[in-house]
Amino acid sequence: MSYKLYYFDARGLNEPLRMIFALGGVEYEDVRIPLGDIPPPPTIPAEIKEKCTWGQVPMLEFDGRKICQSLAMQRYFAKKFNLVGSDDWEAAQIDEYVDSSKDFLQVWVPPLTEKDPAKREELIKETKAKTVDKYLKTFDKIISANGGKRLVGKNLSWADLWLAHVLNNLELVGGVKLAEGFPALKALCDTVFATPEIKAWVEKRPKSKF
Amino acid sequence: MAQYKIIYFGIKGRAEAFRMIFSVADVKYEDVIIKSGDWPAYKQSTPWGQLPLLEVDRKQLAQSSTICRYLGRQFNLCGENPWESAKCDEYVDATNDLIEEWVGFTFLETDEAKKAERKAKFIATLIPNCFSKLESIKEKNGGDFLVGKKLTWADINVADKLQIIEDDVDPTVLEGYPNLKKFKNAVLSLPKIKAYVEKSGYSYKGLENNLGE
Repeated sequence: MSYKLYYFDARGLNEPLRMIFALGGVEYEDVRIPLGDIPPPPTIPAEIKEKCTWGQVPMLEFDGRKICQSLAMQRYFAKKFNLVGSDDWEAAQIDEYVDSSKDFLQVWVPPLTEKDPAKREELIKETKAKTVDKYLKTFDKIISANGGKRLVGKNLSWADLWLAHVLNNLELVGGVKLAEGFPALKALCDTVFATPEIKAWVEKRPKSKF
Repeated sequence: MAQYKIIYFGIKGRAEAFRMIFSVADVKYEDVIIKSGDWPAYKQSTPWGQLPLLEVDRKQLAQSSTICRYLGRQFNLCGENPWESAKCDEYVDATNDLIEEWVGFTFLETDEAKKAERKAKFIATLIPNCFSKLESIKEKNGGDFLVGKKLTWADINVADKLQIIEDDVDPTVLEGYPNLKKFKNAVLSLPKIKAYVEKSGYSYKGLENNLGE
């Protein structure tokens, strides 16, 4: 079965899929579209854009089929590789924490893509203050209540991958280290990045700004 | 049988799709209504400072697409196989951006000029971009539904969004999309859904005073 993944040359919203592929041992053609100097929004080449159902990436082609929308794609493969908890309720909690992690990542896009250095610093400060209570404390509490290393249940889930990715990405893109001072968040990230397949992927993945 | 509660404002909003799913499944639930005056205090007790929440036997779930998907799964409205489930997810996600933009300019945008500009762009560009793609997906799938041969939570979720846009943005919006028009009417005329809508008395208006974020 050959897989062809189309996305920007970035980690962004799609990195959890690449982490899931690493865990599942999936080999794929990784088509990377140049991101350019965002903002303004990047351009998807016409020949790719017309293949994408919604005119957007990521998009995955395999077995004569096509799937789009980052979370839909990730959830399909997360199920395949047992990263969705042990029952429907755990799967739903995982979905909830992925949704919140995605909101958390998106709240940080304006500050981290701001080009004016003074404005950028101001926005980073503001966003830090806004996100500490809403996301960091909440996630830290959830992890602590669940034994200290995972968001849901006993095994690694794609929600753990998402949250670890967001925190890691903030550090890589903007030098923003939010897990400091939240031991459970730090333990979650350490656990995810120590997982052999994730560790190997992170070591070999292409370097990109976002 | 699990005890279900929907915790939300007294509006259709993001909970209407849940209520329609419950009605199709013939499952009882309680509507716990938070009044807008009580919201600032209640907000502190919610996991993410947002509504709706679904309570199942006293455990809570947040995020409206997650809740919809969970209920879809409980009541066998999530496709016949993992691929169909993924397609349900894809179509719901693809139409979420459109609704979030509608929410943005309708309830959150305070600058009147910007509001008008965003609404104009919504009608001229965002709707056609989304609806034209959804129209061809519907046409290709045949039958009455978006995915496979049976009703799914994605049909209910998307039909509801089409109704919102028709009610609040442009009553003629589906005229250019005959398959979508037929689809929306087919889903909303399913006997149990029709019966629910007729007696519910909820409105899409009135959200302005109630959105917490």
